Amino acid sequence: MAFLELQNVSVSFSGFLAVDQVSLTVDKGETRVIIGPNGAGKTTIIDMITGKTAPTSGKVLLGGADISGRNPHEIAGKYKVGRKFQGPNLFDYLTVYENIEVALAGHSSILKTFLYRKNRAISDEIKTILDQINLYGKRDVVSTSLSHGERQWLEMGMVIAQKPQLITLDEPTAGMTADETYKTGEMIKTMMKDKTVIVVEHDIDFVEQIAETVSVLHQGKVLAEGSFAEVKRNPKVVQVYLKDDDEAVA
Amino acid sequence: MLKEVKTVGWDKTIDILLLLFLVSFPLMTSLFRVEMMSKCIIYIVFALSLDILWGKAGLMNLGQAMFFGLGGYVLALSYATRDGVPAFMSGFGVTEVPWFMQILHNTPVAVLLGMLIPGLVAGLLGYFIFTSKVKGVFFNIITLSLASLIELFFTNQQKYTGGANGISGLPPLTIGEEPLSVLEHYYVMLAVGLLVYLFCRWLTNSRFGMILRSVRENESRLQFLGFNPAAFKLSIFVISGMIAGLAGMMYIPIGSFVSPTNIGVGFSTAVLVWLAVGGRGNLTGAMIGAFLVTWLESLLSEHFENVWLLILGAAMLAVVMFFPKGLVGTLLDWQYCRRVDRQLGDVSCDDGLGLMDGELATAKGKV
Amino acid sequence: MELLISQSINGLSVSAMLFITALGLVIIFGLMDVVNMAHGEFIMIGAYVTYFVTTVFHAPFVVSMLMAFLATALLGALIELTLIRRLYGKVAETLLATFALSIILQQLVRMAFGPEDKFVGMPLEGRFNVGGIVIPHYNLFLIFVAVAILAVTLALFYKTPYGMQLRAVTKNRSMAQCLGVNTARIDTLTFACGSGLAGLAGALIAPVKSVMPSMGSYYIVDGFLTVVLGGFASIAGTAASSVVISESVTVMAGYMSEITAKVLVFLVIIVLIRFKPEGLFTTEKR
Repeated sequence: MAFLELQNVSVSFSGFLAVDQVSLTVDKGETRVIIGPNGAGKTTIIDMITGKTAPTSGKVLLGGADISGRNPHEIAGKYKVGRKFQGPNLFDYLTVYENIEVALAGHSSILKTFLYRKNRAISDEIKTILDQINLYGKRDVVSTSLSHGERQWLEMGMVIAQKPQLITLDEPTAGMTADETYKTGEMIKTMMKDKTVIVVEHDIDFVEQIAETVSVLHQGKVLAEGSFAEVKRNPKVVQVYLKDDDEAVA
Repeated sequence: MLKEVKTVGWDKTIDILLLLFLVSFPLMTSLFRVEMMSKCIIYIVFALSLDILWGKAGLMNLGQAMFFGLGGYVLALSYATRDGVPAFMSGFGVTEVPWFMQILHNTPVAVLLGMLIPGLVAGLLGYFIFTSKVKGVFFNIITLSLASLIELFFTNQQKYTGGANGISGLPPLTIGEEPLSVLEHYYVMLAVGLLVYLFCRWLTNSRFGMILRSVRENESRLQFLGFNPAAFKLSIFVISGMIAGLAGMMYIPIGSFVSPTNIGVGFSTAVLVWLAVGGRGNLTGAMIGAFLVTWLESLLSEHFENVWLLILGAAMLAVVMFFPKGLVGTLLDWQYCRRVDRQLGDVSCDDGLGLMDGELATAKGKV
Repeated sequence: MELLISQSINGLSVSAMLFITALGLVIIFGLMDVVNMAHGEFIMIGAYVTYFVTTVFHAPFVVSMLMAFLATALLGALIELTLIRRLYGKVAETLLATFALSIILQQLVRMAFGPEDKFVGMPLEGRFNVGGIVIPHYNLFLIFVAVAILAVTLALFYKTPYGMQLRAVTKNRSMAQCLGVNTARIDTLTFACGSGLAGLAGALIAPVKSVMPSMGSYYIVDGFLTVVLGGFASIAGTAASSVVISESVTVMAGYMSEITAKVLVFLVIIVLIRFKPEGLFTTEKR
């Protein structure tokens, strides 16, 4: 059954239609990749799901509840939607360990931050996450000292620590080497195995590595949807990507 | 396991040394200096109130003295109106103590209000500022403007505040009828100061404190982890205001007067300088800065009052340009680098480490 | 009723002074995101220059306006080159540094010329008397100068190559750099220009208020409030908000103390900004 549902959502920024009547359903436990050329509206869709942007029209339903236009902190806290930003977005002068600790689910109201006590279960949980993202050895380093790839992984760890029902990843491999990209794909597959995940991505090899279903966005509309193999063969998709390349050359 | 690699920070060591020094200080010197040091302790409390706000949460309040002054005025009015209408009021034809000051006759109520009123002002101001979408320097500009207006307002309302001269001749603390000695006052102030310090340490070491630092570093990211940054900023602003109000009340029995200079821009600037010199964000820096600068000020301004302001301005400029993390901040950075080097061997410790100012990150236009 | 009318006419000349005070702040903030805490001291220095030019050397007032502008602009350029330049992007540091600068400048002037008030004679003595309402010529002169400055500034921004470069830098600094705009020079010029406007404001204020070392801190708060209400980076917004603020304060001050009026206006601004964060008079986001 549909877990996340976008019903005819549109977003316009002072007249420019960034997302145009998009409808999208994602099932529970699915890993969905959204691809599309620059300016297709991919990040805007993530913005809508996470509350950064409100849809101009249409609805965003999560597990049946209407979350369109709610505050980011409400969507993240109450509806448990996690987000990894394009380009690592961390707490710079906090240590790696603290970055994960801040993100831990269930301690986000003011009262709970006062009542919070770090016990064995919590430190074990943090250690597990740090091991999964290969950063346990650097736990006491402030996050600005990490390499770009490590910063990306740290943010993935933060999203996991949030224990979200729905994970949104906006270009998780941006700026990574091929090796790092592959590792990231494996991380997503193991760490987020039973989660509902939406990934926005450019790197076609990476998409093939992780995708269960792919939605192709073009000029704010859904152009095609299906398995990676299906989408790859879709003539409309091929045309958009080729045409885009032509324009880029010209 | 984590505990093994962490060493005791030098900040904690300095704190303990400072405490030992303050406890034994009266044994080493004259009563005159002890009284000076009592004021110093009050300034340390005041500096702590700003450090949990600016150093931890990145909210640079340019008008922190308004909370100090409000606390001071509340207690001063409580004392001044106790035996009927004081001279500064009757001079303006006031024959009866106004109702809102009669509440203050009960000392515990006055002490409570001396913290609650600054807290309330911070709460209202914070509500409007933090839930607004305006970010960045707006907070600085508004707090500075308000401090300046409050200073003018208190000078202007001579009928109730004694105008530019303020309210003087305020009594010392008493037990029963007996006033406390200079030495007893000193240890009372030290005890209150210690309690405030322990509270601030607890607060900043708690998860709440960690979230405050996250607000400083990257407020918008925090929203996407389910936190409401405005609520955290509002809370710390209120707490900070209350502690500053407490410091203002502590000043009354020691200074025995309060005037618009305790509430306005000048004094707000002073506390900024203490934090800039000592280094902000680690409590120790605030205390060392307040201690060094105010002690030096009392020594120097005894002789060269004019030159002092010039020295203060120049010192502030020099610290900002060449020593942006302050004395303690620089020290802690160095210790951090050594620890990380020991642990990993190869991490380059460049200039951007350690205590940082969150406004810097927001200035770079994240998210 | 007469009080209301005369106060609102009076308010216009106060608006004019406030506008010139705030304009420099807005230009500097809008372009380089720098809040110049020493802006008030530039006003003070402008006022002292006027005092020396007119009262000590008996030169015409117009000369003193020019001298005040040039002296503070020069000082501004010097400060931008030595201090502000190293602190771009560091909001807290810039605030602290300019704060320190304001203490230093104020104290230097106090030590050099003494703490006591200096007086500058009124350059235009006459006044109109319209049906019992008195309007000094100097007040009209202030309004005229403010409108002229507004016109010149807008022309400078929108009609000259410098203005075009400046707007380009405001929108996208690195792109402007790539296109060959000398952003460092633009910064210096703009800071000098903003400082010069503060000096000019000081010159115009000098005949109506007393000239003293601490006078700057009084004007900078009004300037800040104007900037906030006007939307932080808009010249037209600054003009509109200086009229709104001055008119409300001046009219209310007919019925209560000026300080109380200011506190009330301040509270209204805080509440307004909560609901209209981009300022009252701007629609576009910067």
